[in-house]
Amino acid sequence: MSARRSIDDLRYRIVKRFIRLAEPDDFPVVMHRKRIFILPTGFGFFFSMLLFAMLMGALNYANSMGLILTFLISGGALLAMISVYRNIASLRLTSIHASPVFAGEIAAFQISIRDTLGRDRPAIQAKLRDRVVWCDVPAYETRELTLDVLAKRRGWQQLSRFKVCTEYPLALFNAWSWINPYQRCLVYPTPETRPPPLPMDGEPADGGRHEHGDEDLAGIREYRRGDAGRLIAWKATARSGQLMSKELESRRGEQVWLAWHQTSQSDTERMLSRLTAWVLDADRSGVAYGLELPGHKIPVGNGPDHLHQCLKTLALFDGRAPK
Amino acid sequence: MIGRYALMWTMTALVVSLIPHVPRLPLWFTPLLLAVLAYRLGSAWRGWRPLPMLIRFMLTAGAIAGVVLHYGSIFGRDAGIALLALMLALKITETYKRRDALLVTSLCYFVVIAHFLFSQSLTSVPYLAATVVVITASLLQLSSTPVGTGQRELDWDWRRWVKQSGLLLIQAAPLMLIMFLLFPRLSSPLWGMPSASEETRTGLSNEMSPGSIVDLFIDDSPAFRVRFDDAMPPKNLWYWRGPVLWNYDGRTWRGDRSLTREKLAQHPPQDGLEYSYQVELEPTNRHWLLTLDYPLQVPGDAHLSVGHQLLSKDPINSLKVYDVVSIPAYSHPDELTPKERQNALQLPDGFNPRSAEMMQQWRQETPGPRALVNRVLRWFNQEEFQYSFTPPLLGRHAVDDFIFSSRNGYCEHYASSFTAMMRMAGIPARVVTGYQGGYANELGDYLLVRQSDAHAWSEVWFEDAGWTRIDPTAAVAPERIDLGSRNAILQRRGILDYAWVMQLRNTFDTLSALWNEWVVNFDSTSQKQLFNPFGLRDIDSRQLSLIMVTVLALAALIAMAGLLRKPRQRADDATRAISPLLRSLRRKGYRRDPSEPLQLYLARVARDLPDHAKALQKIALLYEKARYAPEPNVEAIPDLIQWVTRWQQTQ
Repeated sequence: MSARRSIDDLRYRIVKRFIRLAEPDDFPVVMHRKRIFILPTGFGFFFSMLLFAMLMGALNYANSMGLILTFLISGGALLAMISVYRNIASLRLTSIHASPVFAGEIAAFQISIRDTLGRDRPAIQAKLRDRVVWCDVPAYETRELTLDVLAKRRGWQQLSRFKVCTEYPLALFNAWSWINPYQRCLVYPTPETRPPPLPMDGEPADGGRHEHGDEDLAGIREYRRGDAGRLIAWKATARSGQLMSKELESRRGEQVWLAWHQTSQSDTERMLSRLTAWVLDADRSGVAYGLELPGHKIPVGNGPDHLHQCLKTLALFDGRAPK
Repeated sequence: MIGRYALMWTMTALVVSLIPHVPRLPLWFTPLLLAVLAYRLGSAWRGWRPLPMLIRFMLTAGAIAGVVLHYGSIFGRDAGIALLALMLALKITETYKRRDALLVTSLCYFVVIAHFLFSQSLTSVPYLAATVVVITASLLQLSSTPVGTGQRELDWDWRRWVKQSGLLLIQAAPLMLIMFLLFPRLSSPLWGMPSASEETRTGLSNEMSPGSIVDLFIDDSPAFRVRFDDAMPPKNLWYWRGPVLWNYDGRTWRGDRSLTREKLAQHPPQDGLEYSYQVELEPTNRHWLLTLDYPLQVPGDAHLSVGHQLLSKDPINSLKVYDVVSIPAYSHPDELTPKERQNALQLPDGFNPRSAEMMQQWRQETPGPRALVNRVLRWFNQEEFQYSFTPPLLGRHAVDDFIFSSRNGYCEHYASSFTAMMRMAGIPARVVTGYQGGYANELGDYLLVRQSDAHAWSEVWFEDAGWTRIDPTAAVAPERIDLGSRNAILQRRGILDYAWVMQLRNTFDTLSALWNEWVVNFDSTSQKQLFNPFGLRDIDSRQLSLIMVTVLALAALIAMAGLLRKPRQRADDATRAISPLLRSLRRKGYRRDPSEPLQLYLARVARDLPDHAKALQKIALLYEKARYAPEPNVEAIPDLIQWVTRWQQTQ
C-alpha cells in the first residue's frame, strides 16, 4: 500500500522535475542545481572519439608522451563538465520586461541576468527556438539579454518557454535550464496607415478640416503627471524652477469622442486599427479625446497614461463589431 | 560565420601545432599552407568569396596525389601525418562556421600527439606544452561564441584566453598524473608498430664505407646511457660492441647475414671480472643492441650472434632498456668454424697489390701472428700516420693508397686497412663497429655515450687465445682512446668543448635521462613496481583500473568541492568586522538576546555608554548598510572596520 503510494509520489516528483511545462516560474529565478541539465554537445561526442583514438594509439605504441597529452586533455574535459555547470549555477534571472509594441512589430523581451556569487560568467546564452542571444555576465553585475519575438496579433504576446544555457568552457558540454516565464508583452493593434482625419465634434469623418500646427495657448499651469512631453513649457519651467505645462486651447470643439460607429468599417480588426490610428493622431495633435467601445468607455483625457489606457483597451478588446 | 578573432585563434593553433612537422613534410607543404591561410584571411578581412567547391575538390585531390607521389602511398606513419596536415590546412578554406573551427582546433591535439611518434625528447617538451596551451585557448575562445551567431566580435584579448587555458590545464594536471600512473598499459601492442624503414636515423649502420662514421662525429645526440650495478670498468675497457663486419669488397665492409643470424653456442661460465649493467638505448630502428665487450648474459628478447653481437628480436623503435652482464677478459675457447674462417679471410681479388705483397713478405719475416700484429701497429705508430677527420679521398686500391701515400685518416681507415692487412697475411680478422668511450655523468651516476663516440676497431683470431681486440687507431692516436673523438683533434675544439658548456650539457643530459626513466619509459613494469611499497605484488590490470577509478573519483570529488564551493558571502565580512566589538561588549556584561537586532542592541548599549553613543550608532548604521542594503555595500566594510578598531582603541 504505502510502497505503492510512495512510487506514485516518486513518479509525480520525477515528472514534475523533468517536465516543467505546466507552472510558470516565480521570478527571480535562481539557477538551482535541480533545474540545471548537462549533456555533451555534438562536438563533445566527436571530441570523446578523438580522445579515444589518441588513447588507443598512445597505448598501442606505449607512447608515454602521447598518454600524458591524452590524459591531460581528458582531465581538462572532465573539469569542463564541472566548469560548465559552475558557469550557470546560481545565476539569477531577476526580471523579464517588454515594452508594449504595435502588432507587426518586434516585441523585445529584456531578460536581466545577475551573478550573485562573484564569478565571471562568460558566454551565457538565451535560446528561444532557433534564436540565440548571449552575453558575458561579470561578477556581481547584471546584464540584459533581449529575445525578439514578432508580435503578430494584438493582445497579450506571451514569451514562450526558453532556455538559458552555456557551453563555456571548451564547448564539450551544454548546461541548460528551461525557463517558463509568465511575462508577456502588450501588443496594441496595428494603426491604420492612412486613416481619415479625426471625427471632430462627433461628426463623421469627411476630411479637410483637420489641420495640425498652430494651436492657441490657453494658459500655463503646473505639470501634472500624464502631460505630454511636447506640452511642457520650458521657458516657464526655467523661470519658476518647477515643471510647468502649457494648456492648449483645443481647436474648434476642444475634445473628440472616438467611437465605434464613427469608423465606418464593418470588420472588427479594421475598426480597431482605425481607432488606434485616431487615438495616436489625437494624442499627437494635443486634442483631448475619449474612447467608446462596446462595453468600454474611457472619458476624455490627454497624456501618456491616457494614451496607454486607450490603446490597451483597443488591444484587449474582445467584443464583436455590431452589425 | 565565426568572427575574425575566432578564425585567427584557429589558424594560430593549427600553425603552431604543424611547425614541428614541417621538416618531415614535403617541401611544397609550407607554401601551400601559407597560401591557404592568406586566402582565408583575405576572405575574412577583404570579403573575398569562399573558394568554390570545384577548386576545393581539386585541391584535395591534388594534395592526395602529392602525398602519394612523395611517399609512394597514403599509408604509413609519414604519409599519414602528411595527409592529416594537408587536410587540416585545406579545411581552413572552408572554415566559416564555428563547427568547422572546433573540428580543426581539436584535431590539432592529434597533430601534436603524432609528433610524439617521432620524438619524445625533453627538448621538445616546452614547445609542445605551449602548443597545447594555445590549442586549448583557441577552444576556449571558440566556446565563448555560441553557435551560429555573429552578433558581437569578442575582443582579441589573447592574455585572457591563454590565462584561462593555462589555468584549466594546471587544474587538469593532477587528474592527468593519476591516469598516467594508474591507467593499465598494454603488455603487447594491438597492432603493428609504424614501419620506419625509409626513415633514416643517425647512428651506426650495418656497413662501413668511407665517410660513414665521420658523419657521426659531429652528431652530439645521445646514443645510449649505461648504469653499472657496481663499479664502472676502467676507461680503457669502454668498447661498446655494435655490428660486426665480415665481408669486404675493397671499399665497403658489410655484416654477414648468415653469421649474424646464427646463435653463439652456449659456453660454460668463465672466471674473470664481471660487470652487470643496464643500457638505455635511444631508438635506432635497427636490431642491434650495444654491449660492453664481451657480453655473456643477455636479455631474453635478444640473442648473441656468432660475432658476439647482441641482436634484439624487434627493431628498436622506442627507447629500449636492457640488462647485460659482460666479462671484458673473456677468452674464446672454441675453434673457428670453416664458415667463419672463410669469412674472416675473404678478400676481393685484384685490389691492393702493394700492401698484399708487403704483408706476404712480413709474414715470412716475423715468427708468428702476434709478432706480425705488433709489427703492423708499430709501423702505424712510427711512420708518418696521422689522425684526421678530413682525409684525402682514396682511389680504387684503398688500402695501398692509405698506408703508402695519404696516411691520413680516422678509426674507420685504420680499422679497415688493418683488418685487410691481417687477412692478406693469412690471419683471420674482422671489423667491429660500435662506440668507444663515454662521459661519466656523476650527477646521474651513469655513463653517457654520444653518437660522436662512434668508433671502429679490429679483431684478429689467435689460435691460442681466440678473437682478440686490436685497435689500430690507438697505435696512431692514443689520445683518441683516452680523450674521445671530440678532443682528439685540437682544431675541432669549439664552444661546445669548454668545461662549463660540457657541464651544462651533461646536466641537461641528466635531466633527459631522468625524463626517459620516469616518463618516456614508464611502462607496465614500472607501473607494477609503483605498488611494491604497498605490498601489492603482481597487480593486474583489473585491479589497476579499480584503483584508478577510485582515485579519480576521489580527485573529482575534491575538484568539485573546490570548484563548486560558494564563495563566502560578502555580507559575512561585515559580521566579521564587528565581531571584536561584540566580543568586548559581551565581556563588559552586555548580553544580546538572540532575537535582538544589532541596531537595537547597540542603541541599548549606547544609552549606558553615552560617551560612545555616537560611535556605536555609526557602527550600527554601517553594519546595516554593508549587510542589508539591496546591493551588498562593499565600500562600507573598510569604514566599519575602521570604526570598530577606533572603538577598541578607546577602551
